[in-house]
Amino acid sequence: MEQTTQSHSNKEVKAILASFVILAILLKIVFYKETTIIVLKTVATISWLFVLPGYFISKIWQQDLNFTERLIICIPISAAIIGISSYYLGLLGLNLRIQSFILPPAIIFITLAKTKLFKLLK
Amino acid sequence: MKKETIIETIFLLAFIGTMFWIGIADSWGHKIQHDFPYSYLASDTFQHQTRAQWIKDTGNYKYEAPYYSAGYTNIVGFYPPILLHLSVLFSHISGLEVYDTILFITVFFAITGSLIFYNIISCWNKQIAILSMPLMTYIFTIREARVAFYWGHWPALLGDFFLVACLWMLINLQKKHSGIILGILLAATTLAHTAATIFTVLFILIFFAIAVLRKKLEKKQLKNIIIAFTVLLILTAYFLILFKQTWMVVFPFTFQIWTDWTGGGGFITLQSFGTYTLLIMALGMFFIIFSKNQNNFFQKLIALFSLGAGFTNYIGFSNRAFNFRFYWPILLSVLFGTGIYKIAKKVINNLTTFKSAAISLAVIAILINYNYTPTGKIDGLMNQYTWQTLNWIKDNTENDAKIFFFYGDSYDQDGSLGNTHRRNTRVEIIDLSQTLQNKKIEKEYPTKELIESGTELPYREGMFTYARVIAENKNVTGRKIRDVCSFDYYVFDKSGRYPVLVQFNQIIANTFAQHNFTIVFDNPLSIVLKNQQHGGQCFGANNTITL
Repeated sequence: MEQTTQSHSNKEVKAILASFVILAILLKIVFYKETTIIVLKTVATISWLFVLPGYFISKIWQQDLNFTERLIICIPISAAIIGISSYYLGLLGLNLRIQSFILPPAIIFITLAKTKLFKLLK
Repeated sequence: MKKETIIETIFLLAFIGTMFWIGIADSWGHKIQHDFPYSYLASDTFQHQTRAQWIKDTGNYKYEAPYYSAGYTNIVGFYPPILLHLSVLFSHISGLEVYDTILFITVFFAITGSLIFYNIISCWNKQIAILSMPLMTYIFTIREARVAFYWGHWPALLGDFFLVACLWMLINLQKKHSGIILGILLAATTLAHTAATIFTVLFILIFFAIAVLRKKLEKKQLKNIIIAFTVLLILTAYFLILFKQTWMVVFPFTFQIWTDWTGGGGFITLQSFGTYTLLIMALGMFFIIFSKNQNNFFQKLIALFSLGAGFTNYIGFSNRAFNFRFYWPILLSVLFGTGIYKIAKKVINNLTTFKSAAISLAVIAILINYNYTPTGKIDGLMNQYTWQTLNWIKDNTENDAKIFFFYGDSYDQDGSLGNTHRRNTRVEIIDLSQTLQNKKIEKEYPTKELIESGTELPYREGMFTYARVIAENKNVTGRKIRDVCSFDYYVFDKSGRYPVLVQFNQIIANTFAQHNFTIVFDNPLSIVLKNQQHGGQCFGANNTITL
């Protein structure tokens, strides 16, 4: 059982990396006058802010949704959670510069911790 | 990976690439990073950009910038914040400037919105979903929809994006924790563009009313919707209290029928889609309405609702209905997809994913060829010299310096002047034309200070109570007659669309030079003069310059 989960996770990591590479190639074609480093930074930022947090959250639906569906719906979910948290954390005094680096991993960590906690409770 | 999935993925990638190309890459000169704000065609774009830049500089959105708040430092951040925050976070991580990230993510979300809607239609019929995509390209080809991106209707576009995400969540309301996620997405509509929440909630109410009538409402769905509204209220309580005491007071709901929106750059009408496209959509509408298929209830409802909501300008929703119409190319796409599908089925027996994708790409190519004129690079209102001048002022003048702008082509759209990070006032061009006839300019002159006075400059009075500066002091206003000599720095442009006004600039600058003014900055487009005798007789003894 654990091995299956492990192999599923490996597949997911590979799929996410593949989508990162494909999006980078696509954007490099469309923005062909832009330097590769800027394109890579843009794609990395999209993944960091708008893909990864929502993708981990949508793990709860991994039985119902395929990879592409999760990849698409994770974007508004990430944007909503990151945007709302950023607004309120800013009001509480946490500078956006710091938020930009800690918010996505914090959301992923909370999601994973919650899932693990649920499993333990069960 | 299945062959079908590979075909679908390739199709979607081609679609995404095309959308980026026509959406922004063409007008941005196929570059992501620019030396100054690119393709900004109206003051509103700069308004959002300068506000986002302020948030980046201060690290939060507790207050508005004093330089566009008449110098007040306690004006509470009143604008829907989510787009501003996302663009700042994007800027921090990517290293791109806020002026690039804010427009980039608006386009990125519109493309994502079309993919989400593709998913919604896919739940019913994959072929129709694929064939619906050509209509979505209209979001970047209809003039009035393009205006939304280049004139700065960005918050409305983001609100519509979250509305589409809410629709996806509604169709998946039986999923685990979907109530919480729907609540978060609903809160995002509120914090992006509050009008989008109204439309989303309206749709939810209609959806549930029909579900009750059809006796198809599940207990779990009802529970999730209650959770969603609870989450919405919790996440937006702070902002809604502020909203109620600011926006709703200054702009109370009034029953207004709008049939024109010149100020907003026009609006999408059904005619915007063109006759042939409309015919296909009408065919799709016919089949959707009269189909006995129960699986497309949700898609049918969205299409009908979107059509109806877009016309609420006739029942008092004013320009908010036009804001909703920005997303018509996405929300009505199912009609087009169904129309094409029915035609294709008549011709092709076995309509596979591959064949649908091929037809869809061919239709996209035809539509773009017909509807889209390659723009090439669009610099917009900003240029390198004006940008240089604004930045020089920001970096070299005192924090409390007051800047005065005489005639310049882009200064009329004064949102850009916020980039000086100083209080800015400009000459009223209309009055300057009047001066042309009188051949003299007075020291006391009609001017306009850049003040974001939309909600009358709200400030915190108590824990949850706000008062408004302008409501208390009507003298705080952008437009009024001011003493032109009372400013610290003056910007004159040396060239422009109206040579006569440029000549005015030269005469006034020469007069200033005779009254203790010094040139502190000079570039091929503008000069900046410093007033050494603040409030003095800069116009000479008669307080008048004869032209």
